Amino acid sequence: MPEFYELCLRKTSEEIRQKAEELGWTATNCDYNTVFLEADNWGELKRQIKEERESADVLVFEAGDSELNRKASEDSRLDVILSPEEGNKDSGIDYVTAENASENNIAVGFSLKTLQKKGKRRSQILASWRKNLRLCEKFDTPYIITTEASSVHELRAPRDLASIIESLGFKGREPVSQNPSKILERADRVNSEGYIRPGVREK
Amino acid sequence: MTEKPSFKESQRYLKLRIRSQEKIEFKELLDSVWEALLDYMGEKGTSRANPWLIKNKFDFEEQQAILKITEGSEKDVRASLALQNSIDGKKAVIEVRRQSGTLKGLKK
Repeated sequence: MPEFYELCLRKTSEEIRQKAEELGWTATNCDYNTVFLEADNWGELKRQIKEERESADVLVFEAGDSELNRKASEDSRLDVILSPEEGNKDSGIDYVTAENASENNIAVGFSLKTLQKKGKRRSQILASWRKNLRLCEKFDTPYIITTEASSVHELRAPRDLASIIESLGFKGREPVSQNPSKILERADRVNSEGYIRPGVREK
Repeated sequence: MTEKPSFKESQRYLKLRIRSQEKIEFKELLDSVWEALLDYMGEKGTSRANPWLIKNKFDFEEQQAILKITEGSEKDVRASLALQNSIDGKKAVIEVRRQSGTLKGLKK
């Protein structure tokens, strides 16, 4: 039985958890602590990462400009760079960023919220998504797709999200199943008994 | 942002000519081109074409413009533009005069 994970819900509640389970999600961030970070410069982001990393299961950076995204991709403490195309004239990441993110196991996040605008803007966002997906596939960078839902009505079934990626010509199953589960494996490992820091365990 | 040359998508440049009783401004043409592409190709098809109307190549006097698109979408884009018969409420036709892989090639 495949397992699906939704890690970037904006709001968590019992109602949302139940609806998500009904739609087919194995786990969401109703069960885990996802922290969203927003920053205008690298100094501020670094400070926020340091503050939040210990307590957060999943650390998500709401992407900024291309330069900041590149800096963020070099920090392995982050788990997700969300919506890099938002607020940028280009797609938000380049091959250097994709390569760094791949080396540091940072996933690129694609959010359904950015596709809510219709017509010309949606077309431009889809073009950016296509470019970023090509980069992710080329450099083996993990990627996830999320609804970023803040209410029950914004939730979508995992296979529906997967089909959006597949309709663009890329693998749809991984961003809702394997890739988020790898992020959670890391969180579970950190929270397990005896864990001290990466590579070090208590006997 | 750096782009790896081998990873760059091939582009095509279309030289457009507008036939209309009144002269058309750049913004009006831009809106009309997007409307034509979205109506015919839809959002997904238009995203694949990734169109860009080059502002500094727009010639208001000659009513000519250059549209950059990705390789492989030329037929659909031409068809979309052929179906457009007005710009901002004014009767107009957008003709594709020339197509090339480079900007320089359009000048010949």
